[in-house]
Amino acid sequence: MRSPLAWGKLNVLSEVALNRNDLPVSDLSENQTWLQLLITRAAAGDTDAFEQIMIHSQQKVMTLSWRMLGNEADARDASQEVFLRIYKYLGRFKQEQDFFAWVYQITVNVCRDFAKKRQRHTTQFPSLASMDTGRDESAFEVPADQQGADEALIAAQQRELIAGAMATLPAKERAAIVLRDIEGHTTDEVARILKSSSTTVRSQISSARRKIKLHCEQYLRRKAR
Amino acid sequence: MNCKQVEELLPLYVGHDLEDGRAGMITAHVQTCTHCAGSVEEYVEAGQLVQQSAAPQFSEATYASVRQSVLHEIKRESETPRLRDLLLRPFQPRLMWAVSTAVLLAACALAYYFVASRPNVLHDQKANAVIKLAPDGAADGRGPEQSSSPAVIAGSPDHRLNPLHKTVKPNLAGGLHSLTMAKNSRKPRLSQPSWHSRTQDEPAAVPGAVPATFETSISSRKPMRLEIQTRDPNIRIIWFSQPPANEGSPNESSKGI
Repeated sequence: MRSPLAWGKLNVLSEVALNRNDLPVSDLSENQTWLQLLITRAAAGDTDAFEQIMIHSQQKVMTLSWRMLGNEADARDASQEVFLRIYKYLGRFKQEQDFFAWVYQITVNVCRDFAKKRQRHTTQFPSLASMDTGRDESAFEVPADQQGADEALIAAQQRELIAGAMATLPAKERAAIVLRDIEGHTTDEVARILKSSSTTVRSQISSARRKIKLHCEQYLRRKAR
Repeated sequence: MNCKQVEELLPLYVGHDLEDGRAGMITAHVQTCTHCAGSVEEYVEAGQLVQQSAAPQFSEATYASVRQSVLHEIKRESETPRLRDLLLRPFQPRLMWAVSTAVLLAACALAYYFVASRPNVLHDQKANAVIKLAPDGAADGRGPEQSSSPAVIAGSPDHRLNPLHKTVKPNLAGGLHSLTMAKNSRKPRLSQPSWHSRTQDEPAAVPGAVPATFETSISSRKPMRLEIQTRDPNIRIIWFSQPPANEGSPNESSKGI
Protein backbone atom coordinates (compact mmCIF):
# COMPACT_ATOMS: atom_id res chain seq x y z
CA MET A 1 0.00 0.00 0.00
CA ARG A 2 1.21 3.45 -0.82
CA SER A 3 1.26 5.73 2.15
CA PRO A 4 -0.52 9.05 1.50
CA LEU A 5 2.28 10.93 3.25
CA ALA A 6 4.91 9.44 0.98
CA TRP A 7 2.80 10.11 -2.04
CA GLY A 8 2.33 13.72 -1.04
CA LYS A 9 6.06 14.21 -0.68
CA LEU A 10 6.64 12.38 -3.91
CA ASN A 11 4.20 14.60 -5.77
CA VAL A 12 5.78 17.78 -4.43
CA LEU A 13 9.23 16.59 -5.37
CA SER A 14 7.97 15.41 -8.73
CA GLU A 15 6.69 18.86 -9.54
CA VAL A 16 10.10 20.24 -8.69
CA ALA A 17 11.73 17.66 -10.92
CA LEU A 18 9.36 18.49 -13.74
CA ASN A 19 10.55 22.07 -13.73
CA ARG A 20 14.26 21.29 -13.71
CA ASN A 21 16.37 18.30 -14.44
CA ASP A 22 19.02 18.80 -11.78
CA LEU A 23 17.92 18.75 -8.20
CA PRO A 24 19.64 21.02 -5.68
CA VAL A 25 22.99 19.66 -4.59
CA SER A 26 22.60 20.95 -1.03
CA ASP A 27 19.91 18.45 -0.32
CA LEU A 28 21.77 15.40 -1.48
CA SER A 29 20.54 12.90 1.09
CA GLU A 30 16.96 13.96 0.55
CA ASN A 31 17.42 13.57 -3.18
CA GLN A 32 18.83 10.09 -2.71
CA THR A 33 15.91 9.12 -0.55
CA TRP A 34 13.57 10.56 -3.12
CA LEU A 35 15.33 8.69 -5.89
CA GLN A 36 15.24 5.44 -3.94
CA LEU A 37 11.54 5.93 -3.36
CA LEU A 38 11.02 6.46 -7.07
CA ILE A 39 13.08 3.40 -7.91
CA THR A 40 11.11 1.25 -5.49
CA ARG A 41 7.81 2.42 -6.91
CA ALA A 42 8.96 2.09 -10.50
CA ALA A 43 10.24 -1.42 -9.86
CA ALA A 44 6.76 -2.26 -8.60
CA GLY A 45 5.31 -1.12 -11.92
CA ASP A 46 4.50 2.52 -11.22
CA THR A 47 5.00 4.23 -14.57
CA ASP A 48 4.54 7.70 -13.07
CA ALA A 49 7.51 7.10 -10.81
CA PHE A 50 9.47 5.78 -13.74
CA GLU A 51 8.69 8.87 -15.75
CA GLN A 52 10.19 10.95 -12.94
CA ILE A 53 13.31 8.80 -13.10
CA MET A 54 13.50 9.38 -16.83
CA ILE A 55 13.16 13.12 -16.36
CA HIS A 56 15.92 13.02 -13.80
CA SER A 57 18.34 11.06 -15.97
CA GLN A 58 17.37 11.86 -19.55
CA GLN A 59 20.03 14.51 -20.09
CA LYS A 60 22.83 12.22 -18.94
CA VAL A 61 21.59 9.34 -21.05
CA MET A 62 21.01 11.39 -24.19
CA THR A 63 24.32 13.20 -23.95
CA LEU A 64 26.33 10.05 -23.40
CA SER A 65 24.47 8.33 -26.22
CA TRP A 66 25.17 11.22 -28.54
CA ARG A 67 28.86 11.17 -27.61
CA MET A 68 29.04 7.45 -28.16
CA LEU A 69 27.04 7.32 -31.37
CA GLY A 70 27.66 10.73 -32.86
CA ASN A 71 24.21 11.78 -34.06
CA GLU A 72 20.92 12.74 -32.55
CA ALA A 73 18.73 10.18 -34.26
CA ASP A 74 20.81 7.28 -33.00
CA ALA A 75 21.14 8.92 -29.61
CA ARG A 76 17.36 9.20 -29.37
CA ASP A 77 16.81 5.57 -30.34
CA ALA A 78 19.54 4.42 -27.98
CA SER A 79 18.06 6.45 -25.15
CA GLN A 80 14.69 4.81 -25.63
CA GLU A 81 16.31 1.42 -25.47
CA VAL A 82 18.28 2.46 -22.39
CA PHE A 83 15.13 3.50 -20.54
CA LEU A 84 13.32 0.34 -21.54
CA ARG A 85 16.19 -1.72 -20.19
CA ILE A 86 16.26 0.32 -17.02
CA TYR A 87 12.56 -0.33 -16.51
CA LYS A 88 12.96 -4.00 -17.27
CA TYR A 89 15.87 -4.57 -14.91
CA LEU A 90 14.97 -2.08 -12.22
CA GLY A 91 14.02 -4.95 -9.95
CA ARG A 92 17.62 -6.16 -10.01
CA PHE A 93 19.03 -2.79 -9.02
CA LYS A 94 20.37 -2.77 -5.48
CA GLN A 95 19.78 0.28 -3.39
CA GLU A 96 23.39 0.42 -2.22
CA GLN A 97 24.54 0.78 -5.84
CA ASP A 98 25.16 4.13 -7.49
CA PHE A 99 22.09 4.53 -9.65
CA PHE A 100 23.68 6.77 -12.27
CA ALA A 101 26.72 4.55 -12.59
CA TRP A 102 24.26 1.75 -13.28
CA VAL A 103 22.49 3.93 -15.84
CA TYR A 104 25.80 4.79 -17.51
CA GLN A 105 26.67 1.12 -17.64
CA ILE A 106 23.42 0.31 -19.43
CA THR A 107 23.88 3.26 -21.76
CA VAL A 108 27.36 2.20 -22.77
CA ASN A 109 26.17 -1.35 -23.40
CA VAL A 110 23.21 -0.19 -25.46
CA CYS A 111 25.40 2.12 -27.52
CA ARG A 112 27.83 -0.70 -28.18
CA ASP A 113 24.95 -2.91 -29.28
CA PHE A 114 23.69 -0.14 -31.53
CA ALA A 115 27.08 0.27 -33.10
CA LYS A 116 27.36 -3.44 -33.74
CA LYS A 117 23.81 -3.80 -34.99
CA ARG A 118 24.07 -1.09 -37.55
CA GLN A 119 27.44 -2.33 -38.77
CA ARG A 120 29.00 1.07 -38.57
CA HIS A 121 32.71 0.81 -38.42
CA THR A 122 33.09 4.55 -38.30
CA THR A 123 30.62 6.43 -36.20
CA GLN A 124 28.78 9.24 -37.86
CA PHE A 125 29.60 12.37 -35.99
CA PRO A 126 28.04 15.72 -36.99
CA SER A 127 30.11 17.59 -39.50
CA LEU A 128 30.14 21.08 -40.86
CA ALA A 129 28.38 19.79 -43.94
CA SER A 130 25.48 18.60 -41.85
CA MET A 131 25.38 21.99 -40.15
CA ASP A 132 25.22 23.77 -43.50
CA THR A 133 22.35 21.66 -44.71
CA GLY A 134 20.58 22.12 -41.42
CA ARG A 135 20.20 18.41 -40.71
CA ASP A 136 21.27 18.63 -37.11
CA GLU A 137 19.89 21.98 -36.08
CA SER A 138 19.63 21.14 -32.43
CA ALA A 139 23.35 20.46 -32.37
CA PHE A 140 24.53 23.59 -34.06
CA GLU A 141 22.38 26.66 -33.86
CA VAL A 142 24.06 29.58 -35.63
CA PRO A 143 23.32 33.00 -34.08
CA ALA A 144 22.18 35.82 -36.34
CA ASP A 145 24.80 38.49 -35.40
CA GLN A 146 28.34 38.44 -36.86
CA GLN A 147 30.30 38.03 -33.63
CA GLY A 148 28.09 35.28 -32.48
CA ALA A 149 28.36 33.67 -35.88
CA ASP A 150 32.18 33.70 -35.69
CA GLU A 151 32.15 32.15 -32.25
CA ALA A 152 29.68 29.55 -33.39
CA LEU A 153 31.88 28.76 -36.37
CA ILE A 154 34.94 28.30 -34.16
CA ALA A 155 32.96 26.16 -31.79
CA ALA A 156 31.68 24.12 -34.70
CA GLN A 157 35.22 23.63 -35.98
CA GLN A 158 36.39 22.49 -32.58
CA ARG A 159 33.42 20.17 -32.37
CA GLU A 160 34.23 18.79 -35.77
CA LEU A 161 37.83 18.32 -34.73
CA ILE A 162 36.93 16.40 -31.62
CA ALA A 163 34.18 14.48 -33.40
CA GLY A 164 36.64 13.36 -36.00
CA ALA A 165 39.12 12.38 -33.34
CA MET A 166 36.48 10.44 -31.43
CA ALA A 167 35.45 8.67 -34.61
CA THR A 168 38.93 7.23 -34.91
CA LEU A 169 38.68 5.55 -31.52
CA PRO A 170 37.49 2.02 -30.91
CA ALA A 171 34.25 1.77 -28.96
CA LYS A 172 35.89 0.80 -25.69
CA GLU A 173 38.44 3.60 -25.80
CA ARG A 174 35.70 6.05 -26.76
CA ALA A 175 33.57 4.97 -23.84
CA ALA A 176 36.53 5.25 -21.47
CA ILE A 177 37.59 8.71 -22.63
CA VAL A 178 34.02 10.04 -22.64
CA LEU A 179 33.39 8.84 -19.12
CA ARG A 180 36.79 9.97 -17.83
CA ASP A 181 37.47 13.28 -19.59
CA ILE A 182 34.01 14.53 -20.50
CA GLU A 183 31.74 13.10 -17.83
CA GLY A 184 34.47 13.54 -15.23
CA HIS A 185 34.41 10.13 -13.57
CA THR A 186 37.50 8.79 -11.84
CA THR A 187 39.42 5.91 -13.36
CA ASP A 188 38.02 3.48 -10.81
CA GLU A 189 34.47 4.61 -11.50
CA VAL A 190 35.02 4.20 -15.22
CA ALA A 191 36.37 0.73 -14.59
CA ARG A 192 33.28 -0.12 -12.58
CA ILE A 193 30.95 1.23 -15.25
CA LEU A 194 32.72 -0.59 -18.03
CA LYS A 195 33.12 -3.73 -15.91
CA SER A 196 36.83 -3.66 -16.46
CA SER A 197 39.99 -3.23 -14.42
CA SER A 198 41.56 0.11 -13.58
CA THR A 199 44.73 -0.90 -15.37
CA THR A 200 42.84 -1.66 -18.55
CA VAL A 201 40.92 1.58 -18.35
CA ARG A 202 44.12 3.52 -17.76
CA SER A 203 45.62 1.90 -20.83
CA GLN A 204 42.54 2.69 -22.89
CA ILE A 205 42.53 6.29 -21.72
CA SER A 206 46.23 6.70 -22.47
CA SER A 207 45.79 5.30 -25.96
CA ALA A 208 42.74 7.47 -26.61
CA ARG A 209 44.48 10.66 -25.50
CA ARG A 210 47.44 9.90 -27.70
CA LYS A 211 45.20 9.30 -30.73
CA ILE A 212 43.20 12.47 -30.10
CA LYS A 213 46.38 14.55 -29.83
CA LEU A 214 47.66 13.00 -33.03
CA HIS A 215 44.41 13.72 -34.81
CA CYS A 216 44.44 17.33 -33.62
CA GLU A 217 48.00 17.80 -34.87
CA GLN A 218 47.11 16.41 -38.28
CA TYR A 219 43.97 18.56 -38.44
CA LEU A 220 45.84 21.74 -37.59
CA ARG A 221 48.56 20.85 -40.07
CA ARG A 222 45.96 20.46 -42.82
CA LYS A 223 44.35 23.77 -41.86
CA ALA A 224 47.71 25.52 -41.90
CA ARG A 225 48.34 24.51 -45.52
CA MET B 1 63.81 9.03 -16.85
CA ASN B 2 64.60 9.66 -20.46
CA CYS B 3 62.33 11.32 -23.03
CA LYS B 4 61.06 8.04 -24.44
CA GLN B 5 59.91 6.81 -21.05
CA VAL B 6 58.32 10.16 -20.28
CA GLU B 7 56.56 10.26 -23.64
CA GLU B 8 54.91 6.94 -22.83
CA LEU B 9 53.51 8.27 -19.59
CA LEU B 10 52.52 11.79 -20.71
CA PRO B 11 48.89 10.91 -21.64
CA LEU B 12 48.30 9.74 -18.10
CA TYR B 13 50.37 12.52 -16.59
CA VAL B 14 48.28 15.29 -18.16
CA GLY B 15 45.10 13.66 -16.87
CA HIS B 16 46.51 13.26 -13.34
CA ASP B 17 46.15 9.51 -13.65
CA LEU B 18 49.65 8.71 -12.39
CA GLU B 19 50.67 8.03 -8.85
CA ASP B 20 52.56 10.79 -7.09
CA GLY B 21 56.02 9.24 -7.37
CA ARG B 22 55.99 8.90 -11.14
CA ALA B 23 54.19 12.20 -11.62
CA GLY B 24 56.93 13.94 -9.63
CA MET B 25 59.65 12.37 -11.76
CA ILE B 26 57.91 13.48 -14.95
CA THR B 27 57.42 16.98 -13.61
CA ALA B 28 61.12 17.17 -12.89
CA HIS B 29 61.93 15.95 -16.39
CA VAL B 30 59.51 18.32 -18.12
CA GLN B 31 61.03 21.30 -16.33
CA THR B 32 64.36 20.53 -17.94
CA CYS B 33 63.23 19.16 -21.34
CA THR B 34 61.64 21.60 -23.79
CA HIS B 35 60.56 18.85 -26.19
CA CYS B 36 58.62 17.00 -23.56
CA ALA B 37 57.23 20.29 -22.22
CA GLY B 38 55.87 21.01 -25.72
CA SER B 39 54.25 17.59 -25.81
CA VAL B 40 52.64 18.26 -22.46
CA GLU B 41 51.14 21.50 -23.80
CA GLU B 42 49.74 19.72 -26.84
CA TYR B 43 48.14 17.06 -24.67
CA VAL B 44 46.65 19.69 -22.41
CA GLU B 45 45.16 21.63 -25.33
CA ALA B 46 43.68 18.50 -26.87
CA GLY B 47 42.24 17.56 -23.52
CA GLN B 48 40.69 20.98 -23.13
CA LEU B 49 39.13 20.68 -26.57
CA VAL B 50 37.64 17.35 -25.62
CA GLN B 51 36.29 18.70 -22.36
CA GLN B 52 34.86 21.76 -24.07
CA SER B 53 33.16 19.76 -26.76
CA ALA B 54 29.82 19.89 -25.08
CA ALA B 55 27.06 17.78 -26.49
CA PRO B 56 24.21 19.66 -28.12
CA GLN B 57 21.44 20.89 -25.90
CA PHE B 58 18.48 18.76 -26.80
CA SER B 59 15.13 20.43 -26.73
CA GLU B 60 12.45 19.55 -24.22
CA ALA B 61 10.37 18.27 -27.14
CA THR B 62 13.07 15.73 -27.92
CA TYR B 63 13.17 14.54 -24.33
CA ALA B 64 9.38 14.43 -24.18
CA SER B 65 9.16 12.35 -27.35
CA VAL B 66 11.67 9.88 -25.94
CA ARG B 67 9.71 9.61 -22.70
CA GLN B 68 6.42 9.16 -24.49
CA SER B 69 7.87 6.47 -26.71
CA VAL B 70 9.25 4.62 -23.72
CA LEU B 71 6.02 4.84 -21.74
CA HIS B 72 4.02 3.77 -24.77
CA GLU B 73 6.27 0.77 -25.24
CA ILE B 74 6.01 -0.15 -21.56
CA LYS B 75 2.23 0.06 -21.72
CA ARG B 76 2.13 -2.02 -24.88
CA GLU B 77 4.34 -4.70 -23.37
CA SER B 78 2.35 -4.82 -20.17
CA GLU B 79 -0.88 -5.31 -22.12
CA THR B 80 0.54 -7.99 -24.35
CA PRO B 81 0.52 -11.31 -22.53
CA ARG B 82 3.76 -13.19 -22.63
CA LEU B 83 4.00 -16.58 -24.27
CA ARG B 84 4.88 -18.18 -20.96
CA ASP B 85 1.78 -16.72 -19.36
CA LEU B 86 -0.36 -17.90 -22.25
CA LEU B 87 0.99 -21.41 -21.90
CA LEU B 88 0.57 -21.53 -18.15
CA ARG B 89 -2.78 -19.79 -17.99
CA PRO B 90 -4.97 -22.91 -18.37
CA PHE B 91 -3.04 -24.65 -15.62
CA GLN B 92 -2.37 -21.78 -13.32
CA PRO B 93 -5.48 -21.96 -11.05
CA ARG B 94 -5.39 -25.74 -10.87
CA LEU B 95 -1.69 -26.26 -11.06
CA MET B 96 -1.35 -27.37 -7.46
CA TRP B 97 -4.33 -29.69 -7.78
CA ALA B 98 -2.92 -31.18 -10.94
CA VAL B 99 0.46 -31.75 -9.35
CA SER B 100 -1.13 -33.29 -6.24
CA THR B 101 -3.29 -35.62 -8.32
CA ALA B 102 -0.35 -36.69 -10.42
CA VAL B 103 1.70 -37.47 -7.32
CA LEU B 104 -1.21 -39.42 -5.79
CA LEU B 105 -1.75 -41.46 -8.96
CA ALA B 106 1.93 -42.21 -9.19
CA ALA B 107 1.96 -43.40 -5.58
CA CYS B 108 -1.07 -45.61 -6.18
CA ALA B 109 0.44 -47.13 -9.29
CA LEU B 110 3.66 -47.81 -7.45
CA ALA B 111 1.85 -49.45 -4.55
CA TYR B 112 -0.24 -51.61 -6.88
CA TYR B 113 2.87 -52.68 -8.71
CA PHE B 114 4.58 -53.81 -5.55
CA VAL B 115 1.52 -55.62 -4.22
CA ALA B 116 0.81 -57.36 -7.52
CA SER B 117 4.36 -58.45 -8.06
CA ARG B 118 4.86 -59.74 -4.55
CA PRO B 119 4.92 -63.59 -4.44
CA ASN B 120 1.51 -64.59 -3.05
CA VAL B 121 2.46 -68.19 -2.57
CA LEU B 122 3.59 -67.71 0.95
CA HIS B 123 0.15 -68.01 2.40
CA ASP B 124 -0.87 -70.61 -0.16
CA GLN B 125 2.18 -72.72 0.33
CA LYS B 126 0.56 -74.96 2.86
CA ALA B 127 -2.92 -74.96 1.42
CA ASN B 128 -2.25 -75.29 -2.24
CA ALA B 129 0.46 -77.73 -2.81
CA VAL B 130 0.15 -79.14 -6.27
CA ILE B 131 1.23 -82.56 -6.99
CA LYS B 132 2.03 -83.54 -10.47
CA LEU B 133 2.47 -87.02 -11.43
CA ALA B 134 3.86 -87.43 -14.87
CA PRO B 135 5.11 -90.88 -15.68
CA ASP B 136 7.25 -91.06 -18.68
CA GLY B 137 5.87 -93.06 -21.54
CA ALA B 138 2.46 -91.52 -21.19
CA ALA B 139 2.80 -89.77 -24.43
CA ASP B 140 4.39 -92.65 -26.25
CA GLY B 141 1.95 -95.24 -24.95
CA ARG B 142 4.17 -97.11 -22.56
CA GLY B 143 2.66 -98.38 -19.42
CA PRO B 144 3.49 -97.23 -15.97
CA GLU B 145 5.56 -100.26 -15.41
CA GLN B 146 7.60 -99.28 -18.39
CA SER B 147 7.95 -95.82 -17.28
CA SER B 148 11.40 -94.88 -16.34
CA SER B 149 10.40 -91.61 -14.87
CA PRO B 150 8.95 -91.50 -11.44
CA ALA B 151 6.05 -89.34 -10.41
CA VAL B 152 6.72 -85.72 -9.96
CA ILE B 153 5.34 -83.97 -6.98
CA ALA B 154 5.39 -80.28 -7.32
CA GLY B 155 5.01 -77.90 -4.47
CA SER B 156 5.10 -74.28 -4.77
CA PRO B 157 7.26 -71.65 -3.35
CA ASP B 158 8.07 -70.00 -6.57
CA HIS B 159 6.79 -71.37 -9.80
CA ARG B 160 8.32 -68.70 -11.93
CA LEU B 161 11.78 -70.02 -11.42
CA ASN B 162 10.99 -73.57 -12.31
CA PRO B 163 11.28 -74.78 -15.87
CA LEU B 164 10.42 -78.37 -15.07
CA HIS B 165 6.73 -77.64 -14.89
CA LYS B 166 6.64 -76.99 -18.60
CA THR B 167 8.47 -80.13 -19.43
CA VAL B 168 5.78 -82.18 -17.72
CA LYS B 169 2.87 -80.40 -19.26
CA PRO B 170 2.99 -82.07 -22.72
CA ASN B 171 2.23 -85.37 -21.01
CA LEU B 172 -1.31 -84.21 -20.47
CA ALA B 173 -1.97 -84.70 -24.14
CA GLY B 174 -2.74 -88.00 -25.84
CA GLY B 175 -5.95 -88.94 -24.08
CA LEU B 176 -4.43 -89.28 -20.74
CA HIS B 177 -6.48 -89.35 -17.64
CA SER B 178 -5.88 -86.84 -15.06
CA LEU B 179 -6.01 -87.64 -11.45
CA THR B 180 -7.03 -84.86 -9.29
CA MET B 181 -6.74 -84.47 -5.64
CA ALA B 182 -8.74 -81.41 -4.93
CA LYS B 183 -9.34 -79.47 -1.87
CA ASN B 184 -12.55 -77.50 -1.49
CA SER B 185 -13.37 -77.95 -5.16
CA ARG B 186 -10.37 -76.00 -6.17
CA LYS B 187 -9.13 -76.48 -9.65
CA PRO B 188 -5.72 -77.88 -10.13
CA ARG B 189 -3.20 -75.12 -10.27
CA LEU B 190 -0.72 -75.83 -12.91
CA SER B 191 1.01 -72.61 -12.38
CA GLN B 192 1.79 -73.05 -8.76
CA PRO B 193 4.62 -75.47 -8.38
CA SER B 194 8.06 -74.21 -8.17
CA TRP B 195 10.03 -76.85 -6.49
CA HIS B 196 10.06 -80.42 -7.52
CA SER B 197 10.99 -83.53 -5.76
CA ARG B 198 10.99 -86.86 -7.38
CA THR B 199 9.24 -89.63 -5.52
CA GLN B 200 7.25 -92.80 -6.10
CA ASP B 201 4.36 -92.38 -3.77
CA GLU B 202 0.82 -93.76 -3.82
CA PRO B 203 -0.14 -92.94 -7.41
CA ALA B 204 2.49 -95.33 -8.59
CA ALA B 205 1.18 -97.93 -6.18
CA VAL B 206 -2.33 -97.91 -7.60
CA PRO B 207 -2.77 -101.15 -9.47
CA GLY B 208 -4.02 -100.90 -13.00
CA ALA B 209 -3.72 -97.20 -13.14
CA VAL B 210 -3.21 -95.92 -16.59
CA PRO B 211 -0.16 -93.93 -17.44
CA ALA B 212 -1.34 -90.67 -16.25
CA THR B 213 -0.48 -87.27 -15.17
CA PHE B 214 -2.42 -86.10 -12.26
CA GLU B 215 -2.46 -82.92 -10.39
CA THR B 216 -3.85 -82.31 -7.02
CA SER B 217 -3.99 -79.82 -4.26
CA ILE B 218 -3.29 -80.87 -0.78
CA SER B 219 -5.15 -79.42 2.09
CA SER B 220 -3.52 -79.63 5.38
CA ARG B 221 -6.69 -79.42 7.40
CA LYS B 222 -9.71 -80.67 5.49
CA PRO B 223 -10.37 -84.10 4.04
CA MET B 224 -8.95 -84.66 0.63
CA ARG B 225 -10.52 -86.54 -2.23
CA LEU B 226 -8.41 -88.37 -4.73
CA GLU B 227 -9.96 -89.80 -7.86
CA ILE B 228 -8.14 -92.13 -10.16
CA GLN B 229 -9.72 -92.99 -13.46
CA THR B 230 -8.57 -96.32 -14.75
CA ARG B 231 -8.40 -97.36 -18.36
CA ASP B 232 -11.77 -98.94 -17.92
CA PRO B 233 -14.22 -96.05 -17.84
CA ASN B 234 -16.45 -97.93 -15.45
CA ILE B 235 -13.82 -98.16 -12.80
CA ARG B 236 -12.74 -95.14 -10.90
CA ILE B 237 -10.82 -95.23 -7.71
CA ILE B 238 -11.67 -92.57 -5.22
CA TRP B 239 -9.60 -91.94 -2.12
CA PHE B 240 -10.61 -89.90 0.82
CA SER B 241 -7.89 -88.75 3.06
CA GLN B 242 -7.79 -87.02 6.41
CA PRO B 243 -5.52 -84.08 6.75
CA PRO B 244 -2.07 -85.32 7.48
CA ALA B 245 -0.55 -84.60 10.79
CA ASN B 246 2.68 -84.14 9.01
CA GLU B 247 2.32 -82.06 5.88
CA GLY B 248 4.94 -83.93 4.02
CA SER B 249 3.10 -87.31 4.18
CA PRO B 250 -0.49 -87.27 2.88
CA ASN B 251 -0.82 -91.01 3.05
CA GLU B 252 -1.52 -91.22 6.69
CA SER B 253 -5.04 -91.98 7.70
CA SER B 254 -6.17 -92.26 4.13
CA LYS B 255 -8.27 -94.96 2.72
CA GLY B 256 -9.44 -95.91 -0.72
CA ILE B 257 -12.75 -96.98 -2.14
